[in-house]
Amino acid sequence: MAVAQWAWVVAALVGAIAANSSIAAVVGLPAALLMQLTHRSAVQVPAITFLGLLSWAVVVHVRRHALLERLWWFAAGLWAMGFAVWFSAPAILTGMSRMTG
Amino acid sequence: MVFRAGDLDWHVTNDWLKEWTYATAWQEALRHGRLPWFLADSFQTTNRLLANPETVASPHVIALRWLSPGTFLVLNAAICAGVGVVALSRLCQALTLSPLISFAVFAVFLLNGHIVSHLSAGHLQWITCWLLPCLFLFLFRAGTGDRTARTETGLALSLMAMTMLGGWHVFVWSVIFVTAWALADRSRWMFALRVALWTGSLTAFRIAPAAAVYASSANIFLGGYPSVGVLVGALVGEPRDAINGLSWWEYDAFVGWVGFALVCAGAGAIDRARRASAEHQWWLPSVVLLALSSSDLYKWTLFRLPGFVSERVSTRLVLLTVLGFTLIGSAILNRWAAQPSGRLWRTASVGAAGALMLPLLFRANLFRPAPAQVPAALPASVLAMQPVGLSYSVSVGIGAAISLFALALALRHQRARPTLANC
Repeated sequence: MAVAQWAWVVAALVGAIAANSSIAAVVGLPAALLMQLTHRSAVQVPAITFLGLLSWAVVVHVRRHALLERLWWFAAGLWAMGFAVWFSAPAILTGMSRMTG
Repeated sequence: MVFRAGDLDWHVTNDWLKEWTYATAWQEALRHGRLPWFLADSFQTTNRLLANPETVASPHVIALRWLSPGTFLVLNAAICAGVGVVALSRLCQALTLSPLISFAVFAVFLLNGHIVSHLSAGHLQWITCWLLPCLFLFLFRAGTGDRTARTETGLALSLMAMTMLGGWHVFVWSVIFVTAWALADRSRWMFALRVALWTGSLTAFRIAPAAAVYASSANIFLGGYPSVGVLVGALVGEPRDAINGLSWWEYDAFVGWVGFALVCAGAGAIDRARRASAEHQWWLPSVVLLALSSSDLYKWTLFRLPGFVSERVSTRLVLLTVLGFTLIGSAILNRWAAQPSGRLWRTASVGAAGALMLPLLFRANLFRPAPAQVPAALPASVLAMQPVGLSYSVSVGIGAAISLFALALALRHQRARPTLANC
């Protein structure tokens, strides 16, 4: 992977933690969906939301807040569904469109 | 590179043509108001769609009347991932894993190389691998003493869901795992027997037609992991060329170095103190599946049995080993991270390990295909009109009736007031 991409990822991680991890994840998830809808499914979007989930998990691990933990699982579920679409939609839809023209 | 980083030629890949045909057959049947008894072409040595257990046969196929096959299959994938995470959240809570440790389990469960590479190769039934946390959840409940009808039916319904969505392979691995789990302790035998009865009834709509008109013992075994080096390479290494005639996606089980550490921690949990923990009940079944995925052991044992003969590539069984060991390893890591001394640096270490799981995502990205190049010529109709035959129609009818009756009973148990252990 290019150095610039790694730098971008590190910056995203630091930024997410420094700003507010929960907000980063909550904002990141709709952003991922928006990117899907506009067919701009770059890996950076799932990556930053993945790190958002991680930093959120760190916060919940330290503070042990029940509501935050439930919300974390809700966000994780959304992320998983987003991942399934992000990963399989190009594969399936491209695969199908290659056959149907 | 053998698998071309996911950039497969879909129009010449039989798996993609197969998936398209299965979905289109349902669409065609629904739009013409008839049952899809026969396909015009044969796949997996049969053209009897309703007797082929790797096709989708759940009520929501009705959506194909309006959705394109591609959109329907994407929807399927999203549903499986969502249901899987719900089950995983309950499992992690049952194991009292902190969200930070749960994150590591979540990453291995969702992004592991086995699922990603198989989906990339057009094995769309692998979306049912995302239902595997349901299996672990109900086994955990049973292992901690909750062997009520609710747990039995929950486990059987999870297995039924796999077969409904065409995940026959995943179903077979799960059956082996549950059997090994049950055999390890005599107190589990009756529970396992009841689960077997429930599962047999709930999946009769798939098993009866397959047994009546499709069962074949003519399969040729293709292989397992030939060496420990290949297995370790599959867990942490870069994709390689074909080995023993099998493409790398049949070996791939990538979990990265952090995932590998969890797997090793789980595999090494054989001391008495750890054996007492509830999650350790998955250790022996994980080892059994690891052994069966190695060399030709499966070929000389289960491959000779009806139903199990479908597993021509035994490397696939290693997925349950990876998940089982990961869960055991995560529980160990959880206890380590929760120790009061040096909590800050422990949390920082686990957090950093979580960040090191990001390559799983980047690797998954490599398996996404490039845009379409050449559309293939496809038939206008994929269904064939043939005399159905008594054994085929009766097996489908009786199988469906048994499954519907069992489903009604199982759902009744599921609606029953949960016990404390179920909460």
